[in-house]
Amino acid sequence: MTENKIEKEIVTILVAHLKKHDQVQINGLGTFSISHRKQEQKQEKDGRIVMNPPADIIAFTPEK
Amino acid sequence: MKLNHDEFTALLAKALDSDEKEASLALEAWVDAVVRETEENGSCDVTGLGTFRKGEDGSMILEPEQSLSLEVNHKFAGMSPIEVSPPTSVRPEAEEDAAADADPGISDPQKPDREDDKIRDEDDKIRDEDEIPGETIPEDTEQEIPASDTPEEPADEHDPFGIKEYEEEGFPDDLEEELEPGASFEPDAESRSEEGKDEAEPEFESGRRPEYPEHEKDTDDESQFEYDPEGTSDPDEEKLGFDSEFDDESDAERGDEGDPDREPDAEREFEPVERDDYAASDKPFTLPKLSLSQRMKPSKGASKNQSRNKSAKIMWLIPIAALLIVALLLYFHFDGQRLSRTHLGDQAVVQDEIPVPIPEEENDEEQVVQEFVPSPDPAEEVAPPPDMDVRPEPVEDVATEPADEVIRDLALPYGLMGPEEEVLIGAYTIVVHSLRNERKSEIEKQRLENQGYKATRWSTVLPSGITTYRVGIGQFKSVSDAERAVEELPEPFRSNNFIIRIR
Repeated sequence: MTENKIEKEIVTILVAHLKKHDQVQINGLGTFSISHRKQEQKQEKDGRIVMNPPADIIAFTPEK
Repeated sequence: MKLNHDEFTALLAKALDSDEKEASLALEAWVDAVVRETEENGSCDVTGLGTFRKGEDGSMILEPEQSLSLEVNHKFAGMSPIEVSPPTSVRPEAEEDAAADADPGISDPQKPDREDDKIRDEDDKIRDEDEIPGETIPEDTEQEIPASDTPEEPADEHDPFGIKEYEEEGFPDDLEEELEPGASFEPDAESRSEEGKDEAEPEFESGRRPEYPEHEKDTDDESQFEYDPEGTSDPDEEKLGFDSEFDDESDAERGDEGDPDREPDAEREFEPVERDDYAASDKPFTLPKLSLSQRMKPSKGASKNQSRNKSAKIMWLIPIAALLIVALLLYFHFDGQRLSRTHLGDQAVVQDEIPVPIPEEENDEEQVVQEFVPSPDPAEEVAPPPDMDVRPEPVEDVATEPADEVIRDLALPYGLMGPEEEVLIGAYTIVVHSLRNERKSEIEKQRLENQGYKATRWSTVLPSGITTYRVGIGQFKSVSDAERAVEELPEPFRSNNFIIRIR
């Protein structure tokens, strides 16, 4: 069991659950989660009001 | 769903074909290695996941890989900002946008391709500087207002056909060619009283030449209409009749020593005095080529009268011809409007609401109009006459009258509930599903339709090449209308949706 294989398996499990928007906690490292950013209106410098689309973003909260 | 450390370890043990204790040790070792490398080197790359970096406060930050971010955000991938309102200083382009927003279904003469919202205007690309990389926003209906809609500058009240402009700048070459070769616009017969005097010649050489740029450039014509005091040139050439000052000037340039054999008529043909008169008066010199060719005149007095008559005729013919053209254009314009009313179904009905004096032949049509006047009931407003075409084809001047605009908007079936309306392509919708399975997206659409929603489905090719099928509900005239409708949606749609423009 090499380090590369271990890392590959860890990443595979982690990514698979992140794609399903699951929250993954790993002791000693932190918590991976998906945060949803709602669409929001924003006024540009030229006066235009644009609506930014929503997005699902990967969030990582390190363990303290 | 939350996956805690123990569960993660169990999954890892299964993947490594080992027991949980061994998997837990392996996981701890990997975590220690990542943390240590991040602490020591400031960053640690993990293939397939991203890069851990050391933040300013010493904590770890994860920068996920682009492909992973895209995968996680697949539902909204490729979305870009949509413009809700134009800039405060309204540009003409923004006005067009507003017009398109006001009536997206009709202002767009071509049905947009909503099956692929990758296609978009270059303008949008430039405008959306903070665009999320990758996708496209389906707003291409905005820029397609034809340029012919731009208002023309009003004509000068005293010079509706721009004759003054031509007189000041000189007629264009093609117009000059249309003039008869012998035609002459002589401003004043008395101005010719001193013609032929040699003392005017030095002035002509010294100062007036730049006022006649045509002579400088028309070198071919110059050779064609060369002065021939001896009468040796071909008579056909003489018919063309450009004798002109320039020939005399060329004589002067050649050093006109005075030809003893020169005929008096030839002397008289030289007309520098005209220019002196123009120079003396404040009037701008007009139509420099119009003093051409007196040579074809049999005698001086008769030729002057003849040329004056011709010039007067031409001066009258130009406005008359212009009037005729305008009259024809007006005729076809109003005739086209009348024809469009007969073919446009309920749109024509809306147009005919304005009481217009209608000629006899339109009386029957007016009766039809009264039969189909929109009633206060919106359902009846939507319902078209059975024998008329429902689809509102682009109408040239529908948007010019606000009253018509209001009536037509009432007639368009915007809203959250009801059947999907093809005519509202370009409206906004609330996307509630973004799926990769086409069949599933169709099932979801059907489910929403069964619940009474206006359901729309289309596909989007993401930058990764994956096709996503999106299902939206409702068709709204503006983003704010869509936002209000979101409040009415049940969960999970109310908290998990986004607004997009239908293509």
